[in-house]
Amino acid sequence: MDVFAELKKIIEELMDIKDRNITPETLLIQDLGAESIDLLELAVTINSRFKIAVRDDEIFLTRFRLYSAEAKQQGEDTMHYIAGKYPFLAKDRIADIMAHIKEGPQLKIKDLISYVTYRSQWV
Amino acid sequence: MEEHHIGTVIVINSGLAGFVMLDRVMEVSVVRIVGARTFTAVPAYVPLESLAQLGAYHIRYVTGFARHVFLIKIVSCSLPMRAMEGEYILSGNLVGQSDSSFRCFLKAEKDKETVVEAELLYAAVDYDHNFQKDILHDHYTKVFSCLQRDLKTG
Repeated sequence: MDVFAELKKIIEELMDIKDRNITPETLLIQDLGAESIDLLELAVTINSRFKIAVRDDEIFLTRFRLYSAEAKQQGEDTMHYIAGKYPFLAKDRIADIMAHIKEGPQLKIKDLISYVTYRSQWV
Repeated sequence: MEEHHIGTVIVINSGLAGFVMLDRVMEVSVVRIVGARTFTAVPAYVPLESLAQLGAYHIRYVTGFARHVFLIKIVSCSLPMRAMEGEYILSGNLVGQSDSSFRCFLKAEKDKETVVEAELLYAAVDYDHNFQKDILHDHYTKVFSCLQRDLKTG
């Protein structure tokens, strides 16, 4: 299954958006304007479409800032700490998010692809 | 135009106190719930409310009544233009879920004909000072227990 193509189709349907150039680099919240209710609906749709367990906090990187702060408080390596919380994210992607986190939510379509691919291993 | 006194209808049909628009729950599992409700010439949005309540009880059952559940979106629904009367079998299937959101497909049937269909999205959140566990948990478990036993409560 082409995970990106399927996710793109789901997002276009749920958010009723057409003719948008959605790529793996598209920011779900900043570029597409996804709101919390869209994310809740996206989570259940990903569950039913891909038959994978979905944890909202994980798939939407909701606690990324919190984990970053926790790592600093505990004197741990931030990259290593966050990688433990989000094992589906590559380290270069974590570094990229950390570099841009002050610009707003950094959730990209490619993060959803990584999550679905990672979770699909356990089905 | 005839007026419908919904509060009165609740007392006559179920005997349950409060805004409970279900008469009984006959079957419940992790993936499916079946209930019933008798309507007295009500517009179709009333059975839609019954379906929404049935779906919410299903999610509460699935989550062990450990979280507060509420409807957040009618994803889709089809309603008849005519008034609905008599006993309807209400059923719901859980078609998707994450740890905090749930999507249910629900329908109301009479004589094996589907009259109302709806796909509803629910959220489940931890109890807090707004949604107080000691009030809501006890209330919903009691009502659900009564619906399953078809008991009348005051």
